[in-house]
Amino acid sequence: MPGPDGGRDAEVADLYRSHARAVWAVAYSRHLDRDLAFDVVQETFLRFWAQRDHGGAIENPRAWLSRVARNLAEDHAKSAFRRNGTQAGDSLGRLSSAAPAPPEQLEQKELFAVVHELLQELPVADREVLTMRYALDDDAPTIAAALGIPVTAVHMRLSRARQRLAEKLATHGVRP
Amino acid sequence: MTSPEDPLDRAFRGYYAQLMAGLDAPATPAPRPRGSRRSELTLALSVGLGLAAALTLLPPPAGPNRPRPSAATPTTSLLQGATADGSRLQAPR
Repeated sequence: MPGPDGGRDAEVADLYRSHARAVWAVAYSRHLDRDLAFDVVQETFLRFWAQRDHGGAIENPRAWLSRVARNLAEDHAKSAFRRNGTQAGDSLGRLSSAAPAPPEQLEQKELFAVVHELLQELPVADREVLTMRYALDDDAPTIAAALGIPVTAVHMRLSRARQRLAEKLATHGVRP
Repeated sequence: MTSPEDPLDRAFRGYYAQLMAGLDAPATPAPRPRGSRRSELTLALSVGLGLAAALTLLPPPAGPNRPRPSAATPTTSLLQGATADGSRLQAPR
């Protein structure tokens, strides 16, 4: 039978499994920086646990985690602005891959680079919809409820992004 | 709603899947409430900074080869923000 710490560890692991992707998505849709989003995930969960340790009741963990992740991501944007002016440094346009690139991987890398370029051009609101749809596999009503927008707006943004991706891929001569 | 087999959907899904791979990998531990890696790193950093501060406060080595500060270019202490003779640095007017 697990002791009190074992139970806490299991609870943290469960929370992490349930919500880490959603927290990551919040940070990634703002900065398009994979590693920064991982850092935000870690920091968000550490703060979550600190809050619980100090007796703070958290009724809706996902909402709490998303709010903290959003704040952390925005704090990062402010500090990045101070450091780099109007540019976000090298945090944008970075796709990390250390694996060797055979032809099919090269094609995929090219495809993902075009997707990344498209995301950079979209407003954060559109990126949020795309991230929730394709990273979290949320359906349109779930996305609409989470973002407080009509379902038709979700469909419109998804459709617009898909159309722009198709145009971009054609321009670059990349097959989806 | 579009079909999951749609190539554009697949492109978006593939893009996010490769980025999120590390989130689900066993090598990425869930954060721990106590004694976390972050805490260990913070402790190591604190010890390192404390050691650096202590070394800065030690008197310079004595002997004929001891480097002497130039009178023209006063040295400063990072910890105290003062010149070697104890006077405060003046901001240029």
